[in-house]
Parts: sequence; structure tokens; C-alpha cells
Amino acid sequence: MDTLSVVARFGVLIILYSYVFKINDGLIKNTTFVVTAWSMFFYFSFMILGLRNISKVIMHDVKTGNVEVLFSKPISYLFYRFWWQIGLGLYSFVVITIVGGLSLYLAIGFPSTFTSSIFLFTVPFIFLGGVILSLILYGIVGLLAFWIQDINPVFWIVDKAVMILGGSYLPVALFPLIMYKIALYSPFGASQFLTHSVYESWQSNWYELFSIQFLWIMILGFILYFMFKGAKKKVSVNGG
Amino acid sequence: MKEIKFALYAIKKNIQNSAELKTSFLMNVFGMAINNTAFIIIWVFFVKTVGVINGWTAIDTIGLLGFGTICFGVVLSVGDGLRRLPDIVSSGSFDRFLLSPKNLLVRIATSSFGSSAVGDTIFGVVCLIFYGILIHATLLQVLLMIFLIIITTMIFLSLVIIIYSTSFLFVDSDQVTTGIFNFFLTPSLFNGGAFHGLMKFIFVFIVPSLLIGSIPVEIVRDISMGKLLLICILTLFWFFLSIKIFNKCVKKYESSNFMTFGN
Amino acid sequence: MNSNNSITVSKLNKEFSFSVKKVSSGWFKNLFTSEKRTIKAVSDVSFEVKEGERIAFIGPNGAGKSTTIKMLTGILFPSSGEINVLGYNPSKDRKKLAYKIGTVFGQRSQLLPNLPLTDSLEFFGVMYDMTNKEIKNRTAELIELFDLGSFIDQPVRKLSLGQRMRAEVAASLIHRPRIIFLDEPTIGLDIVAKKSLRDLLLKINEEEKVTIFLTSHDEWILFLLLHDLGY
Repeated sequence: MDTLSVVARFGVLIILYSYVFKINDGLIKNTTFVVTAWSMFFYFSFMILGLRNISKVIMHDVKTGNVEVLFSKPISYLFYRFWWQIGLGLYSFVVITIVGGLSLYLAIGFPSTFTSSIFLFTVPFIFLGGVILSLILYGIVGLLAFWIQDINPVFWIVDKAVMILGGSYLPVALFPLIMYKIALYSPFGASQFLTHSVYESWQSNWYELFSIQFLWIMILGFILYFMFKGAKKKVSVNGG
Repeated sequence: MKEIKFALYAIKKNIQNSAELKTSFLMNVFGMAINNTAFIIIWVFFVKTVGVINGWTAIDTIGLLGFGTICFGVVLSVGDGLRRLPDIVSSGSFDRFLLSPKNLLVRIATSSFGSSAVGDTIFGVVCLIFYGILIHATLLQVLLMIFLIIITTMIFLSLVIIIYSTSFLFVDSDQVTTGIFNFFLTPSLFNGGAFHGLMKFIFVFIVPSLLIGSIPVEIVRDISMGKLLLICILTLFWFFLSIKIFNKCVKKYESSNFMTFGN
Repeated sequence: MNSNNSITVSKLNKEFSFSVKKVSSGWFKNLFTSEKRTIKAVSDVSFEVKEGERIAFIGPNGAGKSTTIKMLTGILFPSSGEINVLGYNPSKDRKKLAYKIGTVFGQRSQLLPNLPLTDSLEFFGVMYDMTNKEIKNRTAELIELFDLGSFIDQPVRKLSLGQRMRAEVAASLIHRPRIIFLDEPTIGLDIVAKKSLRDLLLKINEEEKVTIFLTSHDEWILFLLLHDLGY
């Protein structure tokens, strides 16, 4: 059902943008509708993986005390939850990506950038980086539940930042310069670099984006690691 | 009268009961500022790059955000209990509400206060004030804006009631309600000029997303009495429909498998 | 119906139906089709309770005790049969009946967790349309009767389970109900707390002539009934 809603929202936005591009003679800021549509498709298809839900799962575990039970198991709690989350969304993700991608191809075709070797070679890695960074980002939000009672406000802030900077309303290519910069250098935008891979500019700046994403994975990964250590200590001292 | 008195009292008590009020409120004001400002930047820039579509200027998008965030803020702060319905139903806490001698819907809505949505309300008011100044609003336009705040809030409330009533029908209702809610909200925050033809028809008459955003802006901007009449009629329709749907869904509570047996 | 009766129930039945997903078919198919199954929770129950009586429903988990209480209070609609509580049909006059009855659910708190008990008492007082003066007097009365003074200022979530249960019963009596329904009120309580709760129920039954209707899977309830036999 969640998946259905995402698909419907994507459909609505695509129709709106096709109209917007049409009355602009098919070209806005040197970007074509086909490129824009595929960029948005990547955003929504990534969203269907549902990695953001990891925050709520962790919060739920903390609130119900389930986390103590899982801590006592011979597995790493975080990795267990990460894999669990990926597994949950994978099926819908694969199905929707294939069916959606095929329908979009039949409707508007592929952009020319798809056939470049750089695109084909880098896209799996930027996707993987996005998955890792998203899990870390939302994992940090979830772990906050050990320290503050209600993580929902934080979740909303992070989630909306990802949503806007990832290009859900306005495709990244149409961003004003300042927002483009924020999308480029913030972890929220960096988790959605997949959406940049469709554009012409990707051919020349892909390594820059890779470096930024990698840097954020390292920084936030460390934060997550230390937070998790702190959380473990908190559980063993206070009993949760 | 007694219903309203108790509803107001319940809201007051909820605010006192919410321990994390201050942090969550401050955090949301911060997040709201970033998020909503980003929306304004998006649309102002959208108009700059794409141009004015169907008469929709950058100023109009400020009005759009104003109406959208006010009704969002008012309904989801005062009526935060509605948003907690999936949880209330699946945990069985709904029993408590059925034992209350007050109106069920009012009782649930006011059972929790969403301090985080206050920020949106403030932001929306600021937006509409700016909008009024920027369009050099006449007295009639100001009155229209005030009236339309009430109208949009009623529509938003009706939609929230309908969406969260599905909590009684689905096991995994949290996901279902979030899904429908986002689907409803997405078009309402989108530049109104991009809707035309069939799309406009759908999002006015079938999924009333445009009724809480672009239609009110068009009414104020064009002083369109025809659209005003239309929105009033549709508001009444959705409002009564929502109450009917809620009452019907509540009856489903008994036959659902959320009940625990024996104890 | 006998005019002395608080509760009259005849031929009460309750069935729950729910859908079962077939494991063998895929998620897509399950979206649209599912199998319906029915469970009979309450079957052909009839009884009468007189005003001022103390009644206990005893039985193992899953016997349908809570289901019956939920039908008597208007939470659930019966599949068939007649219910009359204080002259009302609970499924039709739920709101009117609510003014006349009090309820305590063992597993579920009705109190405001982050505020002192007095706030909850006031909350329910306002809910039942009592004036400020009435609420004040009644609160003082209940504090005295239930010996709540020692923890009246603490936030409810800080109370021990025994204290909380006393607080729950007090809160459900704020509007002087004529019947109090208690569903598994002893859950998790130790023997001392159970005894104190028992004494309390006997007290309100005698002093305020409140009809008591409770369910439990716990044999301590026998004490409550045996009280009449001189224990």
C-alpha cells in the first residue's frame, strides 16, 4: 500500500512535469523532460526500498524494551536491523523498478546518457553508497531514541531534508544554485546522489560526488559507531 | 456546548501532559523553518526558470504554502489524536474512548496535542500575511482569506478523518494511512498552475488536494465567487462524508481481529 | 426485567470473524483474496445481577470474560442476544450509560501518565460534566477513602503497580457510578496489593452501594465472594 502511494505520487508528478516542459518547448535549464523524469524515477524507486523506516523500527525496539532482548543475541543489533530493513523493501523495490522502468521506457524512452560507459559503470556503486548512507543516517536518528523520548521531530527534519534535497518535488537539475550546493555537500543530498547520475554533468563530476558520498559515509559511520557504543553502555548500566 | 468545553479542557490537559513539549516544539520550529523555506525557494525558483504557468506567479506560491501549512498545523496540533488512530486501534486503547461519555470523534481528536505542528501554523500565518501585503489585498480579499482558512481547515480535517478511519479496516494501518496521506498532500503543495484539464478535475473533485492549496489562492487572487461557492459545497460534502465514514468504520472495530480474547 | 436488577443478560453470543492470509499464495494474491474464519468467544450466556451485588467472572485465559465485559459496557456489539444495563442497551445508549458506570482495565491505564493523580481525577470530573466544587469534594473523599495521600503529588508513571491500581479504581469512581466493571484488575499485583484492592472493593460496595462486576483468572476473587459467608 505504501508502495502503491509512492507509485501514484510519482505518476502525478510526472504528468505535471510533462505539462510544464511542454509549455516550455521541452527544455528547461538545458534539461529535457526525459532526463528529469528518469531522475525522479530514481528517487522514487530508491524510496520504495523504505530504508527510512529503520528509524522507527529502532525507536520501537527501544521503547518496547525489545532492544535488550536483541542485544543479548549473538548478532550485531545494528547489522541485524539493517539487513532486515533491506530485506523488507527489496521485493517491492525490484518489482517496481523493473515494471516502472519498463513502463517509463515505453512511454518516454531512455535519455542518451544511459548508454555512456561511465553511467553504466558507476550507477551500481552510487546506488550502493546511497543505501549505506541512508541506513547510517536514519540509523543515527533511530539511536537517538536512547537519549530523547520522542525522535519524531528529528525524523521529520531529516526526512524532509532528504525529500527536498533528493529532488522529490523539484528535480535536482532545476535547483537554484544555493540549494544545489546544499544538496551537493549535505549528507541528506548525498544519500540521493543516484538521482544525479542521469544528467549530462555526471560524465564530468561523478568522481567528485563519489568522494563526497564516501566522506559522509565515513563521518556518519563513526558517529553511528560511537552512538551505538554509548547506547550499549546505557542499556547495561540502566537496563534500558 | 458541554462537548466543546470538555474538548478545550482536554487540549489544555494534553499540553500539560506532554513532557517533551519544549524540546519537540523547538526542534520542529527549527525543522519547519528549513523545510518550509526550502519549499518557498523551490517554487520561487521554479517560476523563475519555468516562467509563469497559467497565471501562477511566485507570490501565489507563497499563498499556496500559507493555506496548506495553516490547515495542516491547526488540524494536526489540536487533532493530533486522529493521527494516532492506527496505534490506538491496534493496541486496543480504543476501548477507553468508547467508554467516554463524550462525542467519540472529538474525544479521539483532542486526546493528544501535536506540539510539533504549531510551528507550521505560525509559518502559515506569516506566509498569508506576506501574501496579503504582496498582492495589496483589499478588505474583501482579507475577509476571503480568513474565511478560506476556516474552509481549508475543515476540508483537511475531513480528509484526515477519512484517511485515519481506515485504521479500523486494515491490520497494517500505519503504512496504509501514511501512504494515502502523502498521496493526498503531494499535489496540494505543488505549483497550482501545473494542473490543467483532467488532472485538475481529478484533484478537485475526486482527491480534493487542490481544495486546500491552489483553489483558495485562485479565489483570493481572482475574487472568484463561483469557485467560492463550489469550495463551500465541496467542503460540506467532504465534512459530512467524513463523519459518516468514521461512524461506519468504528462499527468495524468489533468485528476486527485486533481484539484480544479472554484477557 | 426485575426493577432491582442492575444487569440483565439473556442468550448473549459473540463471534469474531477475521481473515487469514494463505501462506501458499503470493503477496499479490493475498492483497485481494483472503479466507474468513470465525471464532465463537461468547456462547449463549444468560445471567442477572442485582443492585449492590458483587459478581466475579472466573475462568482461564480465552474464556470470553473480557469480551462479555466489553459488550456490557458498549465497547463491543453482541452478535445476538439481549443486554440491559441500568435500563440501557449498551450498544445503542453507550454515551448515556457511560455516565452511570465506571471501568477499570487491568492491562490498560486510563490516567494521564506525566501528571499527578489529581490532574487525572479532575480530567475525568470535567469529562463527566461535574462542577469544580463537586470535583474538589469528590477528590478529597476519594483520597481519604483510598488512602491516596502519600503519592497524590507524584506523576502517575512513577507509581508502583499496586498504587496505580488503587488510583485507577479511584479515577473510575469520580462520577459516583452505580456499577463498576473491573477487567483483570489483579494482573501483576502481589498478594499484599491484591488484598488491599479487595478490601477497597468491599468498602466501596458497602459504603457507596456500588455494584461490582469483575473478571479474573485468579482465585483470590473467591475471597471477595466468600466475604458474605463470614470470612
